[in-house]
Amino acid sequence: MKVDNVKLFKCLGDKSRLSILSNLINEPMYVELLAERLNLTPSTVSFHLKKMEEAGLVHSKKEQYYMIYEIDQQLLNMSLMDFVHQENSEEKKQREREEEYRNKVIGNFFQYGKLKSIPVQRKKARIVYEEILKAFEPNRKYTEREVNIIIADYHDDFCTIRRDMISENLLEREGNIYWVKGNNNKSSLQYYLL
Amino acid sequence: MKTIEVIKKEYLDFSTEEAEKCKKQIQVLKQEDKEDEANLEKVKLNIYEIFETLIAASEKKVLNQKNMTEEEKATAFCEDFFGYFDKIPINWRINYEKAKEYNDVTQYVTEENKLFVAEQLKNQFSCIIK
Repeated sequence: MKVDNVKLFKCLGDKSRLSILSNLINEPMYVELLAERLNLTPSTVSFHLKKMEEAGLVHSKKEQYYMIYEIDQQLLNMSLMDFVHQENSEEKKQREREEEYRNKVIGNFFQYGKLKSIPVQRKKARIVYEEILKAFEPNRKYTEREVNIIIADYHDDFCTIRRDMISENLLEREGNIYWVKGNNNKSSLQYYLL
Repeated sequence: MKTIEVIKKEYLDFSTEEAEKCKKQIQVLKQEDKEDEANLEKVKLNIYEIFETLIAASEKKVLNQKNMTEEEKATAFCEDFFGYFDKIPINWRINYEKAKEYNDVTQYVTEENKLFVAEQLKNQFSCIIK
């Protein structure tokens, strides 16, 4: 079920609408009866019902001369947790967009496993370095020579890339020993959004 | 016939009182977290204010007439102001009908409120000048 959570919660943030909903939970009703019960004009009740219908909280159906309104049982049975999870699907979409961008950058800068050029834009360079980082084993110590050999498989300017990977916090060094820095889980875009 | 001053005073006494009721109602509705209903009251308040401006405009028009007696001025004033109750709501009525046709409830309730106030003020003005 696709629900606009913001619209839904805005709609619920009104005392009259909550009263209408409370009445409709008991039984489906028509505008005039709701108006009488809540001491509101039929127009005002229609106004609120329209907003609630747009938010998916109620549905209407014609019965003889009257338009009967009833609650959306499925929506009202959802827990707050369900709504929060729905919001998380937005995060998933964001991750997909990031991944798409990442693949595009990798596609543009790598050819047959070699780095064509070092990107000038820092954001793109980081993506490229993260890709090179995959050639390194985590929890393993490397000498500078070993690091250079690994990077040289991608690009001749291994010195620049090695230094950049240190400054980008992808590799860590102490003296002549290098290793993959822990917690490189953040994606490039997340890194630059921080 | 009543003078312009008397008619205007009686009309404004009524209009101001109704506008004050509206303002109080807006506060109450806001306190009760009924923001949309408060906004509908604001629409009504706005109409009272529009016609207060218009009555001043009608008065100004006739007061500038040098070749009229006081009674003629009062008659012209009443006719002019009364005319606004037909002229001004024309578009509101059109919008109301259109909104009804397309089931745009938000719009037709808004227009309905505007038309209600215009009708209420028209009836009151009719009573004052009778």
